[in-house]
Parts: sequence; structure tokens; C-alpha cells
Amino acid sequence: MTTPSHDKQPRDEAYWARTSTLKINRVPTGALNLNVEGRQLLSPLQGFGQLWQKNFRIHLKGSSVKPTEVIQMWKENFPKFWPKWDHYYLPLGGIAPGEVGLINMLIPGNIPVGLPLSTGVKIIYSDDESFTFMTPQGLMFAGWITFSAYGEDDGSTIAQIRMLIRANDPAYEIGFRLGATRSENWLWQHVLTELAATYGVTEPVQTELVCIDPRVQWSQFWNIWQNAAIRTFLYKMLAPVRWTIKRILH
Amino acid sequence: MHFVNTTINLQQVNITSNSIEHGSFSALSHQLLLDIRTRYDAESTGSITLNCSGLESINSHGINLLIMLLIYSRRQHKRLLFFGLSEHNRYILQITRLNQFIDIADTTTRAVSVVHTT
Repeated sequence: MTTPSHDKQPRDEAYWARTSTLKINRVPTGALNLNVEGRQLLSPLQGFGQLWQKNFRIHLKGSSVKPTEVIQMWKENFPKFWPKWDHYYLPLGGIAPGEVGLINMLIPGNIPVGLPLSTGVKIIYSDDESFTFMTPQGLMFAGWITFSAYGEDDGSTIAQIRMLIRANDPAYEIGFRLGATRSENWLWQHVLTELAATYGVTEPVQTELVCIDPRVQWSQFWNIWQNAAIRTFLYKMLAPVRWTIKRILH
Repeated sequence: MHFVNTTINLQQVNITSNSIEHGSFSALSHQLLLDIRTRYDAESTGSITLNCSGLESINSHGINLLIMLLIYSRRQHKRLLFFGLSEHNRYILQITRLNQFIDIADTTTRAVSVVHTT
């Protein structure tokens, strides 16, 4: 991919990532870097399942914090708002355009047991009031997640997570339809609840779920080849084999 | 049908704040979608054409808008055609991989040609 010329720099150029491929420069301590390196980003049109728009909002009532302050704090403390058993590893460069965050989690995500999943997300856009993750091949869904904050007329601030996603492959789609989507919704509601708690706010999370396109895309069936959950499971299952081979070779 | 009547100039779309009135895709604008639907639902043309020469920037909310447009155009069996895109905005469509679903013409002349061959 070529990069844009710099003859006349657009005002949003610095906010955008510069490639659509995932590359990790340094793996954080304790993180498993699997199903990330060299993966391509997928737009919501390149997934398999139904296309959903999900909005999660929390009103930071009683707090005088500004939207830009919320986003700055959110970027700096992003992993802290996740459940204890799911790990998002902040990239070395922080939440900034082009950085890749590793994810080691248990799916479905809302309980401390489940199928291990090692993957990552790329930060494709980041400015003072929002940032967006785009998902790669193998992750549960194809699409993007935008985290933003905006001011209300009364001077208060609303923090929001907006997702435009579809299950990446048939296996994930079946999982979502069997209830994993509720677990995933819980994850983002949990994130906003924890974020609000930072400001001493205990408000309910407003949730809007809209099915934009109910059809599945059979043309994307073979996305299942990159399924990160299956690959992570196999990787873990083969750990004794790798250990044995390593012992023999040394 | 005349080409001019099927083109939406992003600078001329009359919508409220947070959207594209300043030449940027900066929010998911239902108003813009309604405007496009109003124009295109009854049209027999096979293309939805957007003049992007006044489009200065696209942010993350604007990308959602593009997806909505793409979904709409697919449902209507119409192709989505952009012309007048700056190099930077083309680049954004590459990063987000939306360029695989949008026809991009370099010039108005080329866009007219594409529309007439649809």
C-alpha cells in the first residue's frame, strides 16, 4: 500500500493508521502473540454473519469531566476497564493510530472460564474525542469499534462505544446466536460501568442493538480457516508436544 | 436520467451539525441517508454517485456512514460511485478496505462514463 503524499497535509491525516496489516514490534510481558502477525484488517462487509450496529452509552451525570479528558483517561487506562480474566495489552505507543493491542481473553467473555482466545486489534483512528479499533482476520467479528465521548447540553459528558460488526465466520455466528452476543454485550457494558466508576458515577448503560443486515454472507464462509479461537485452542492443546520437541532438541 | 440529478455533492447536502456541512464525514448522519434514499429510492439508475471534491476529512463516525451507504446501495442493487476523492481520502478507504466495495472515479467525466455504462 502506498502512503499519501505530503504536498498538502489533510487535517485528519495524523489521526489515521498507515497500513491495514497487523504487525507487533514488541510483545508485552505475559502476553501471547498468536493470530496477529501479518493478519489483514476486515471491514464489516468482509465478515460472515448478520451485520449489527451496537451502541452502548453511559451518562457521566454529576461529573464535570470534559469529553477530551474522558478520552485521554480512557486511552491511558483502557485495560483496567476490562474484566480481570480478559486481558487487553496496551501497545507500546499507547492508543495511537497504527498501534496494535494484543488480546488474550476467554470467550464468551463474561465469566472467568471459557475458550482461550489470542488475537489483537489495530487502532485505525485516534483523535482527542474518539478512537477506533478495527478487527483482523480470525477475531470473533469483522468490523470496527469506536470509543467516543461527547458533551450534552447540560454540560455533562456521555461516553459511548459504537460497534459496527458481523461475526467473522460460521462458527462464531453460531456462537453468537446461541448466546455469545449477550456475553459480548455484557463486556462492553462492564467497560462503561468501570469507566464511569472512575468518576464516581453509577449510572445504567443505555444499550441499542440494531440488526442492519440480517443476511449472512456465504461468500465469506472460509474465513473460518483463520478462526483465532480454534487456532488458540489447538495451540494450547499442542503445548506438551512443543515442550517435548524442545527438550529433545536441547 | 441526467447524471447531474443523480449526484450528491457533499458540500451541498443540507444537514445539521456533527455531519458533513463543513466538508467532512464526521458523524453517522441519518439525515444524509434519508436524503440519499429520498433521491434514489424511486430512481431507476444503477448507481449512487457522490461528488467528494469538497470532502476534507473522514473520521471514525464517518466510516460508519459509508458502511450504511454501502448496505443501502447493495440492498437497492445499485453501485456506489465516488469521484473527486483526495489522495488521502482514497487512502482511508484502502486502510478500511472499503475501496473493495466502492467504485472510485478520478474525474467527473469518468464518473459520467461509468454511470452511463451501468
